[in-house]
Formats: sequence, structure tokens, C-alpha cells
Amino acid sequence: MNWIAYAVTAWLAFGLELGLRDGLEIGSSGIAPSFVVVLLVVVALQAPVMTALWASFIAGLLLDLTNLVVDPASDIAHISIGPHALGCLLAGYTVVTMRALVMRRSVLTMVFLSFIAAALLGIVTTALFSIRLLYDPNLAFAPAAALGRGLASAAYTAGLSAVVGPLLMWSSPLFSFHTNDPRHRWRSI
Amino acid sequence: MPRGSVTPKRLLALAVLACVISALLPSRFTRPLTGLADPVQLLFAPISFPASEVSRTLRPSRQPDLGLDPQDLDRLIDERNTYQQRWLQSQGQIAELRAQLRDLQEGRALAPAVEFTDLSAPVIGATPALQDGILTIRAGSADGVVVRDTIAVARGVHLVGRVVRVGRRTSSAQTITAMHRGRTQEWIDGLVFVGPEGPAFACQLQAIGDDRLEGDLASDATGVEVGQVVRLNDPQWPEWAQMLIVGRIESIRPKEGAPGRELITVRPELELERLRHIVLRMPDETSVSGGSP
Repeated sequence: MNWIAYAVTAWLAFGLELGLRDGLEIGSSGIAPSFVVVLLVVVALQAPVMTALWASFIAGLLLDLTNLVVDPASDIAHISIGPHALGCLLAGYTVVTMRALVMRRSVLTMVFLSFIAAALLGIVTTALFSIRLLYDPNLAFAPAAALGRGLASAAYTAGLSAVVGPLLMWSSPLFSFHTNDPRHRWRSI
Repeated sequence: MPRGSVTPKRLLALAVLACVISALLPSRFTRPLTGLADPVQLLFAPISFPASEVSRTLRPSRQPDLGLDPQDLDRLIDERNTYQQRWLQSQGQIAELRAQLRDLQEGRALAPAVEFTDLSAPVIGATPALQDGILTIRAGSADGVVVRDTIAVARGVHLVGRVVRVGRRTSSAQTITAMHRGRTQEWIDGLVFVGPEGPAFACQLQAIGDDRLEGDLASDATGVEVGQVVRLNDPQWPEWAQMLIVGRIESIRPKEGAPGRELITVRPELELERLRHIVLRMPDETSVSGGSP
């Protein structure tokens, strides 16, 4: 895979995710779609297995670095590295596992897998933060609300993937997903 | 393959193990890593900022319903609000100085005066799904922003929230309407002003979601009506945040199980999560030391 193309696309996806979140949010519910998850699904549908897993993991790591949790006692925000990285990795692994069973270039596949991936991301992050709630007094987190928001956002992400997914699929030659040309080894795994 | 060599698969397994440990560590151990958020926010700012502008153009912030809309009138109202806030602050300072004078006469020291500075900064994005109501602002410690003591203000007098993370070039502020998710709820003390010259009554509010705050009104409050302004009067907030507008009363109803007590719902006049620019009000570097953990 061409990692430069992935980096540029991920940069765009993160920029849109952070910038358009308010505009795409449903009311003040916190329910908003994820551009990053759609990118993750496109990559996991087409890239070699290890490449897809690494790309998913890196996307999750960056999501961890942009998600803040405010400690209610001190009013200071902090990041937690891991929950989104693991969630994205599981989402990527699930797509990789399921891709043999689906038509990769179908919009319906994109919609279905985007929902599954975003829902898994929501479930994993909620589960990990819920475990930490048991012993971390500095964590402000409402598991039920977060899970509800996560699943509703997954449905919204599936809707977004119907629009963004085909665009990314159309640009997939840029990613050189299946190149074996030794001249391109420096940019491919 | 030689035994013990590093393969992408093994490296990924190690990274997953590190993430599992990091994800389950209490936040006091992971707090030092928060500094990594700043370069990442800066990295995405060239896209997130214009996207944010587009987003706020498509869904602009709700403006106060003034009945009239000429720009000059807006400016004059802003100025009036600013001077009104300063007048109220000076009233509070006069009362405080009188009290300090009494204290001094009793042999106690005067507290040093605190100055503040304003910095206008653009909102470049919002934090993703985990916790809402956190605005990413393009100003950081290099601009003098400090955590907790810096507050976010809109249109001169509207309290937006408090800075909860500071990086070198970016910072994050949590809005007052978002301080509700989690096990603990943050209470905000305020004053309801009954008319321009009328008395003010205390209230204690907490965010309830849906961009609103709700809480008890003082038991001796009379003449409180829908539409009246609630201002901040909370010692937990910095001095320069006092008397800023929290919002207007949207509804009043009797409190269940507490005869004679009333519950008020307050909505900020602006949609805090959809602001394009905010003013960061922070301590003057020369006048304050400490205050931030």
C-alpha cells in the first residue's frame, strides 16, 4: 500500500471529522458520523491483511490523541491512549475477516461494514472506559449514554459511507493496494 | 526467519499489549501523555479550521432574539453588555474592598489585585465522540493561556466555558453546558437579576444536556420570571469570570418534594458549541502566579 496516499487521506479524514463534527451533529446529542471509520473500512476491504491492521491501528491511535476526557475534580483534560486504537484494530480485523464473504465494490457492503466497524469501535471504547470506572476516580464517563451515542453514530457513519465510501473506492488506485512492483517497495508493505 | 527477529506481526502484538496496559491505567498515570495532543491538533488544523468554518456557515450559532438586526445596534448592545458587566463587577469589588478594609482594620492583609487580559482566538474544531462540548482553540501556552484559570467568553459577556487542556499552540475548552457527563456533576453558582435595578437572587445550576442548565433558586427569591438573565457568581471560577452571563431563564417550576422551592432551567443565549471565535480571558502574566495545577 502507498502509505503516503494513506497519510494524506487520513489527514483529510481527521480534519473533516474534527471540523465538520458540529455541523453534522444531530442537535446536541453528540451523535455524529466518522470519516475515519469509512477510510478504515475502505483500506481494510482492499489492503493486505497486515497493512490493513496497521492502518487501522494507526487511525485509532490518532483518534486517541484527539479525544479528550475531562477530570471533573480538577477540570483538567487528558488523553487516554489505547481505547480507540484497540477499537479500530478490532474493527479493521473484523472487516478483513468478512471481506471474503462480501462484494467489495458494492455500496451496500460499505454501508454494512461501516456500521459494524463504527459500532465495534463504540463498544470497545465504552467497555475499556467502563472497566476503568471501577477503579479510576478521576474519570468522568457515562457508559450507557456513551454506548447509545456510539451505536447511533455508527448508524450515521453507515449513512455517510454511502456518499464518502464510493469516492474513496474510486480513488483506490492511488493507494496501490495490490502492487508487487519491487520498484515501489520503498512505499509499500 | 531467525528466532526473536522483529516482524510487523510481532510489533503489532507488542503495540496492542502496550495499548491494553495504557487503556486500563488510571488517568493520573496517562496525564503526562496529554502533551501529545497538541501537535496532533495542530497537524489537522489546516483542514479542521476551514471545515469548521464551513460547518458553522451551514449551521450558524443561534443569536439572541433582539427584534432588530442592524450591525450597529449589535455593536452597541455588545458595548452596553460589556459596560454593564464591568459595572456589576465594580459593585462587587466595592463591596469586597469595603470588607477588606474592615479586615485590614482588624489587622489582616489585603489580597493583591488581579488583572486579566483578553485574547481573541478561532475555534478550529470539536473533539470527537467520547466527550462532547469540548472546543479546540488555536491559542496555547505560547499565547499565555493557562489551564483552569483561563475562561472562554463570547461577545464580551457570555460565559462559554473553561480551558481544560493547554498545548503550546492549541488548547481545549469545555463548555458550561457540557459539564454534565460522568458520575460527578459540576455545580455553577449564579445570580438571577430581577430587572436592571432590582435585587439579585442566588441559584445553583448544573448542565442537564440539550444545551441547558437546571437548578435550585434561593428560597427567598421573589419576582423571578422567564427571560431574566442569570450571571455567574461562583468562587470556584476566576475573579474575571464573575458576573458574566450564563444564560436566560427558560422555565420555572416548583421543585418536587420541596414545597416552596423552585427549579429554574437556563439556556445560554448563544449556541456555545457552534461559535467561530471566542475570547480567552486569562490572568495577566505580571499580576498572577500559580493558580493552575
